[in-house]
Amino acid sequence: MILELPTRATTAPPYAARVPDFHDAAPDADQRFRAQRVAVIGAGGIGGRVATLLARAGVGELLVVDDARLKAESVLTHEVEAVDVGRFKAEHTAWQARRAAPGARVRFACASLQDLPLAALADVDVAVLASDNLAAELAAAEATRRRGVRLVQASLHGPTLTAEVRSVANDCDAGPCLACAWAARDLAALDAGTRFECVPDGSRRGPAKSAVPTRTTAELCAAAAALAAQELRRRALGLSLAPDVVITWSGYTLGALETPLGRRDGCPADHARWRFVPLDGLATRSPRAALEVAGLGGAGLAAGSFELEGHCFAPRAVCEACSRARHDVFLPAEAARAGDCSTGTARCACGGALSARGPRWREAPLDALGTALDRPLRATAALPLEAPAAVLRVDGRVPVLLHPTPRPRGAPR
Amino acid sequence: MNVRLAAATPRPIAPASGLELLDDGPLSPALEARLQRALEGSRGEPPWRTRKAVEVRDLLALEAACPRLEILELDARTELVARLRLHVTVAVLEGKSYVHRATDPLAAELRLVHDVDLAVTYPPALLRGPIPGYGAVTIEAPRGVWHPNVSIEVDQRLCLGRNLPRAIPMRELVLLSFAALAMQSATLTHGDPAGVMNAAAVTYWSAHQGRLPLTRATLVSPRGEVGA
Repeated sequence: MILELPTRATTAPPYAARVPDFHDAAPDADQRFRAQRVAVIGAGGIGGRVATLLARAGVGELLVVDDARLKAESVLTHEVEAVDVGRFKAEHTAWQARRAAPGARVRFACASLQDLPLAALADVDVAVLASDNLAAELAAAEATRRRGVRLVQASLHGPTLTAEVRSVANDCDAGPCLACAWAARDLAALDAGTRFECVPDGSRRGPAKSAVPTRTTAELCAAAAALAAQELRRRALGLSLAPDVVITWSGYTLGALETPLGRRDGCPADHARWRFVPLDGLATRSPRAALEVAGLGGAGLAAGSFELEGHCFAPRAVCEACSRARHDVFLPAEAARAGDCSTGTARCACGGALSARGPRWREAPLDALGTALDRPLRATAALPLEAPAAVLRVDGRVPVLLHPTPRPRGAPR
Repeated sequence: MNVRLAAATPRPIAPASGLELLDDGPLSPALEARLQRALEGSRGEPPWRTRKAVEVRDLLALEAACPRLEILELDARTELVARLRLHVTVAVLEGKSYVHRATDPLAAELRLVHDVDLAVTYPPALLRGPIPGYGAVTIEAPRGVWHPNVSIEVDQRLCLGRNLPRAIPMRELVLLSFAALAMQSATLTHGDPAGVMNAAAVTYWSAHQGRLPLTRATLVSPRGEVGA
């Protein structure tokens, strides 16, 4: 769940008193920089600093995402104090940013990006990734690619005092994604490093964290954070000409290098870019009506699919208690996202649990929906008040994500 | 004594059989027709469609080589969905109350069932990274399977390990499922790396090992062969 800190009515500091007039820059460059809505994914030694740097620089909207808590050793590399140990990193960072800029809109989620809704980045202009987890890296690469927003990844290599920023535009089909820069050893590390914890009592089973912590220094974290924040500033100033680059700074040679980043065949990530369409009241519409809203109504049923976020579609389900069959229903999809097996159970009218019999799909073919195609989703799925998103795919067309309208700044929660 | 060595002769190459057929053996016309039917309406990006075709072909070849595997349904329209029947013996708990079975198994009757229907879903996400070991296979029938690696929740997920490796072939999922259900790869400890989904079953079977329906039969063994 994404939470929002209360903003405090305050007078913005006189930026012109400290922020210079950048040489040869457009007059509105600084304003454009501050108007960005930034997601910071990973709030450790680098991400925590990026968030406060951006808040201090006047960036008006921040979303901080991290599911980890501060540990005793975090005080060595993070901008935290010993009394903060045990707190969620995302919440702590959000409050730090809020203190630096009381008027900024600061939101946070104590969860991994994979656990957030598909539309979590719907109201974000750029994302900064600062995580040492390859699964999170892949998820961020795909989420920003789908949304078509720039992704800036800040990372470091402690033993060689190297800080690196990878910056991908995600604004055209032919461009690279973040995972295009992965080497074979990264893929091997993803395979070897991903372990899902099973808890026999049926409680949450999530991906285990890397057993090897990042070993580095606080000043190198600060250097990587500064490079990432600087990259956003340079983009606003129009200083970077290449859309996709890798910037490497070495503490051993005191040199920085910018190299272009290209698309790689065989990249494991999904390179699809989606069209995001805000739509409230999805639960009251049928999949066919949703297709119309998405502008895909003319497509043949044999070419498309419908995915209701967090659900799977079953042509037939049976009640475990009364054995009554129900047809064409959306059931809560366990493990809908990798690492998430928390089970919501669909219920029969008698109160018994429904279980699918026969085939089931998360991405249901339109021609398999049967009667569900023309019935409101509310009638075929147990949906919460705030309906989830739906993904509509038609071969040869850009996939469409129908999602609830993002809450505007200052709107009541 | 002088030992006379036999002249070196090329070892006769055994004709490919069993699982060796899977790699490049031609499909029979009947299987080829089933392959084409299964791939009708296959959607998605070209690499995903190609992958689905390879997996379906493999699965059909596996069925031809394995008497204990029967493919009930194949659908490659979006995700690759297969409904399979494995001829393997599993224990189920009789009784109507789900909670009763889960909390007090000794009070219920164990019954052996010799056919298991599986639903295997191969999502495109599996080509991009590992997914949880319980993320692909569920048991449709029988209900109430009493097994350390099978969830007692309504969906009866079968856990095949801490994770399913990226791009694991579907036939591997079938082989892993058979080995897990026959309890050839499962260990009766709460720390079983194959993934414990039913801790009560671990405890129960640990205390009643004599009742375990063990078999040496593999997926390629003829049906009816129970083994020792």
